[in-house]
Amino acid sequence: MPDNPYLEALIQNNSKVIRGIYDGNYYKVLGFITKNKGQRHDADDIFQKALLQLAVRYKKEPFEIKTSFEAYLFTVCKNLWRRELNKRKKRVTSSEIVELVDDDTDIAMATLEQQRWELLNIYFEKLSENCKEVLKMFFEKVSYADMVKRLNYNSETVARQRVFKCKNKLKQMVTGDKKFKSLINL
Amino acid sequence: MEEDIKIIEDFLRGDLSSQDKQNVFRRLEKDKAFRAKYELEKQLFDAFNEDHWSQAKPNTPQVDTYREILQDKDIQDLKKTLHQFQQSEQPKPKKDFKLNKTILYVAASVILLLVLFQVFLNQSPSNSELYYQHANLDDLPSFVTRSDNNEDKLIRAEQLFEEKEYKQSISLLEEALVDNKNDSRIYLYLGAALLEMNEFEKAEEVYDQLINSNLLDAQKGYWYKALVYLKMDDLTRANEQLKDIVKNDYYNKIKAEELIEQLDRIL
Repeated sequence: MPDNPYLEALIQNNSKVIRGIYDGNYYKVLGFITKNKGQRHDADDIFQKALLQLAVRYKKEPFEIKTSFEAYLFTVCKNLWRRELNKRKKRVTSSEIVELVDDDTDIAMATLEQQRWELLNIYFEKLSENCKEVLKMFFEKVSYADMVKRLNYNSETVARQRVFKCKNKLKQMVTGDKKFKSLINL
Repeated sequence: MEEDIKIIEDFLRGDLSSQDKQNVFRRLEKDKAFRAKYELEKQLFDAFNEDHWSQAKPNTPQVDTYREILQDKDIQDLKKTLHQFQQSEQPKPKKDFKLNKTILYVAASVILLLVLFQVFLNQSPSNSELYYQHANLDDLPSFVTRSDNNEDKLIRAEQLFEEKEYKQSISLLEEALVDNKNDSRIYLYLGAALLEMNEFEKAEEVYDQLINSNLLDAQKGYWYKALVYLKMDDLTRANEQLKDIVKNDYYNKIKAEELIEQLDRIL
């Protein structure tokens, strides 16, 4: 596996390359966050945590980024922000107890969560287009009646069966991965 | 088995009656096999529903492993760099004064692109795509956190800048600069506003003042001066300025290198 120059630069604390990473990516992340209920200081925090996450992960075990570094970093930031919004929501609704943890623990947790998300996502992307479409609707809680209309199925039973089959296929692939056990119950 | 999955699905999608929900809770407590099925279904839900996210438990050996790495010296050093970097890169607003630097980047990008449009003989479709990508940035930063009844000169100046009332914005910023020479954002806004008015010499002067200041952002002045020359169509000077940035490793070195390459093609 070739060394990733950006990830190497983080470990080596190469400020020139890090500046380049900021110049090339920060404003996109800021744009995303400020359009999604966040503010500038949130973007600062998320961007910093994303880079730390990548650094510790790479230090523990070098990994390959299959897309561009920019696209990958953006995905990590998006997930971190989604995670943060979720935490805030839980705090407000008190639907679950949110444990207060220190920053390092939080980054460590998020690092593992990102890896779990990637594992599930890799296999989701391997599904047929139709399966992806059906499952997206299912997970977004679209009613079966709507699924029938939007996908031209004959009945809700057909829609349910299709969801079941596609989800099984996904579960089969995910559970067959050697990382599954260590990541599913974090 | 299929029945269990159906119940779990309905539970996660919120389609169960409260009685059925209670049954699910009871089974989750007692039935290990049912819980294992539930865990996997829930993980899928949390991964693929944008409103969800599943958090790891804080006190596990796996978390500890990463926490320990976060304590390593190189990562601690990186933390410091990121922290310093962020402080110089994204100045936190002081009290009510929230001049937002992003708009300068937008202004700079737009100026830069417009100038490139003028000077490039071939306007390829990709240039136009690039333009729209950047132009989209216009609505990126959220300025809504600003308080409306604030009388602060600088806030007003920013508002005027956003409203493209550059003349009025300039006069407020010039006054502000007399009182406070230690806030780089005033220089950056003033320079950008002057540039919008095609007051090239004055803009250059402002950036020179910034360069000669002791501020953390002082070296940004070189980059903005390069933009001044570009907008003036003085491509030779722009080129020299950009080369200077690259040579001395000033702010926006990478962008400067890219720009030099583009200019080389037309010079």
